[in-house]
Amino acid sequence: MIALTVNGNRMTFEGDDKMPLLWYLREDVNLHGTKFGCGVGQCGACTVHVDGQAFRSCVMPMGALSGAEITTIEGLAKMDELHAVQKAWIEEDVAQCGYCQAGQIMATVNLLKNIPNPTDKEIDENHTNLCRCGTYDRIRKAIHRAADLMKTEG
Amino acid sequence: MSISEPITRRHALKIFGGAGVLTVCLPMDSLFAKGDGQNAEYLFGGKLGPFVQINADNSIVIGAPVPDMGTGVSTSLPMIVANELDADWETVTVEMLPDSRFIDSKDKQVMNYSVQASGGSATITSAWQPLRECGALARHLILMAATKYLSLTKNELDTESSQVVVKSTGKRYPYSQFAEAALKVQVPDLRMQVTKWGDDLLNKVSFSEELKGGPSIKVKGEGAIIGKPKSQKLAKDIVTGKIEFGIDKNFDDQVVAYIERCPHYYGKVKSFDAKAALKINGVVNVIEVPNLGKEGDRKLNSPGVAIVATNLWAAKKGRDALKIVWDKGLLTHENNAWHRKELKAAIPRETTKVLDEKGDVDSALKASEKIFENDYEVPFWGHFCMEPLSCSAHVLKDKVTVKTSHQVPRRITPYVAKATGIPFENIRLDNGRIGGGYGRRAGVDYLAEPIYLSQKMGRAVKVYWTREDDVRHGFINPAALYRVKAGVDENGSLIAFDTVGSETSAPWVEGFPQQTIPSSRIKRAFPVIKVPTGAWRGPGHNTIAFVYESMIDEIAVDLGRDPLEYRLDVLGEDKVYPFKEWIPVPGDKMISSARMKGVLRLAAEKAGWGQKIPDGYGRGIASYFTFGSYAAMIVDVSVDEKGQLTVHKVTGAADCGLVINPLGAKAQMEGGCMDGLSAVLYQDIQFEEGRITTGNFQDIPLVRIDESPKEFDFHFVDSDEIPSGLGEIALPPFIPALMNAIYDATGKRIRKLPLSNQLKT
Repeated sequence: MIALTVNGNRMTFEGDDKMPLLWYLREDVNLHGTKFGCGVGQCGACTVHVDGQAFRSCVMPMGALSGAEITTIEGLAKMDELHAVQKAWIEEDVAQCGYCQAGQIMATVNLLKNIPNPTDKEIDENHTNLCRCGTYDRIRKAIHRAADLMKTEG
Repeated sequence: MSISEPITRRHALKIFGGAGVLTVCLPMDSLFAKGDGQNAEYLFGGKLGPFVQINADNSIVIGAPVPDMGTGVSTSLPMIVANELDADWETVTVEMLPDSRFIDSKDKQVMNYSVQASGGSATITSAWQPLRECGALARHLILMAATKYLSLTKNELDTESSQVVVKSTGKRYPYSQFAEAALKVQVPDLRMQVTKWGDDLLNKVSFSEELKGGPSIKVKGEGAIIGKPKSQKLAKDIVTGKIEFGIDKNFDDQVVAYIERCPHYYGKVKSFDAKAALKINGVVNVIEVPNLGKEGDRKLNSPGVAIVATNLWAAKKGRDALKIVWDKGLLTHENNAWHRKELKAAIPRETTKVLDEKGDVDSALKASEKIFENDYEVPFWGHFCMEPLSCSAHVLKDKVTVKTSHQVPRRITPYVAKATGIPFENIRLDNGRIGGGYGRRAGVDYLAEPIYLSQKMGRAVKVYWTREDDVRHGFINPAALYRVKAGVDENGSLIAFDTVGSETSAPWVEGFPQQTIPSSRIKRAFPVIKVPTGAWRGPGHNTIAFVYESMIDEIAVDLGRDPLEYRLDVLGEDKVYPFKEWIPVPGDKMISSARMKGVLRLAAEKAGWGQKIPDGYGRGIASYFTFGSYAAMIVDVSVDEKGQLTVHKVTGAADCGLVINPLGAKAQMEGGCMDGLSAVLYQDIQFEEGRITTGNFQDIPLVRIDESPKEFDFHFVDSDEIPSGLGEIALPPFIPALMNAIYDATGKRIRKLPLSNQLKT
């Protein structure tokens, strides 16, 4: 049995420990905000935080998650207060279809944790999520805006 | 309270009166209907027309009738309504409306209130007029209710920001104050009327404008919302993960399935062994899915074997354990090299057919001072929608429910009715937000399978597609080889233009410069290639724009002419020409050289065409007309010594008539360029033995943020024309503008896509 928390809620998992986290989140926990895009860790649509670090949940086996704290897009906002990255995403009107954006946001939160004020070059080198609609220009702007917001918000 | 639920009068009273806001009680007299059916309450179940609901706190819910696949129509369509209504956009919330088509007495599908499809860049164009009328009607009803309450005439009142304003005093009243009474206002000839709308039938709100002071529709420039940049209304639901895509929709008691489909297109299952699969805990059935028919002249689905399970992980394990022997079919000779050879070989064949001809091309070519002849090649492009296909279906004896995300609901119902024998009115479509469509979600293959499986299982079945399933069983953009022969006279003017298009679907080749050249001819060759193909962002145009706009550039450069000036010369005098190919403007199939020159000039002005660009940079230009809209692109690039391409800036101009939402319009331009860049850099679907071997993003990674252009600068022509679409407008001219920029930077002319290693020396 694997005990873990998802967005602060204690959960237990007794199934196949090879099953990826994404499948658990979408099917067992019914959290649909995290998306399936490729199943092989290539596109990042399934990005969540495991113990505060961004991981691609489609290739993260449940067996590796004993005691882990998982945060999904549904758990990013604190109560009704959106995370600075979510705010920046709205302010820059980033999304087109929106399918990849939960993953983009979760990846960005992690990026800004590691590099609080990234240059364009640092964004290019560290942000690798795929967006088929081509919202990258706005994602770049939103990352900068979120960095600014986080400074102001402390 | 949801706008999509019918509201009874009692219900409406409850909500409108329930929040402590004054509910106005007015005497019934001639202004208000006495049950003769000509008021909003009777026709729209308690709403002010099909799209508008005014809440007690004066906030307004506006319905969005078309599923959004990233084109922004869940914001731009409500903007059209809100502009007519003079709503306060800040307090407007948007709600996606359910599919509400019905069938008429002649068994013809009728869309209710507005178009409900996303494709052909047609949404805005087709929805524009019905939505304006509905917004104007709602405003009229509120004003009429206010005249009664305030004992003033309509001319003494105005509306602004969800308020009725008394002109003489400036006193303001919230719309909510009149919402209840407005439901009962009688509009003399208000009715629903079925009319032909483009290729469809539309049950449209109808009234006589200005008849006895009826609703009046704004002209351009009136209203506070259209033309102003508005961010997406559903953005918060997107960034919090709440928004529901097709793949997120489930039945409570469903089983799930994967289908191992025959990898060889037009192959089938020879035999299979499900013993090991059936032993997997959670696997409940293994069912062969046969060929389920045809869709047009292509296969409907790829036959295969479905693993049905209680959970998806069990279905995956069952699938892995399944042993299938395939009948590979008759197309195992097909692979990339064979396709390329066949595209070329088809050109001189007798089957090649003239599609269009004017003047005398052969004589004009003979009389030409100089002849140019080039081949241009485009490979197969996949859709790679971020949301892989999925669909769940529950077929009962007398009704069926389908949950998915689909671009064109009207294509679903006839198929479901035929497959199940269940009549139209008992078929329910629950259509989610669409995680990318690009033409892929216009077919019924991914609905047919769960419908078949639900019939077999007697319960709800959801079929999931892996990325590999999605890539290998798509209906992809056709590969093409175009041969263009052009002749110029002693002044360098184009006098002959001869095109042969070799591709598996009919080439769409009617755009400029065909119309302005005295002698031109378009031939179609018929290569015998069986790859299942279908619509892909800007079908046909995505390829032919690359061909024509590269060709023009090559001629201009060879003649020592400025590529912009040369294009303007080729377009010639300001004139409209008939245009036979599909555009979504009923009755007006014309293409305008003036509008095309307009976008070229606007882009050139904004980019500073002719001015010095940084050393080592190259600059390219192209323009193209797609589905009613005109676009020009100017691309600045550099290529380093290793052959690495950087796109520094894209400057673009579009003429799409009146722009509804400039912020969303720019997003569509960005998206089109990015899709074009991904196609140019990465798209090249691989084949062996008549099957697609490309599987996932390791094979075709598509563009990420590091390869994205460093700057976009888009502009729109100020226009009074009917708004036309933008979803497919940017990609066609972007690709040749990029290729022309690469030539300018490196001297290398790219005539075969993808770029791959052609820039490496």
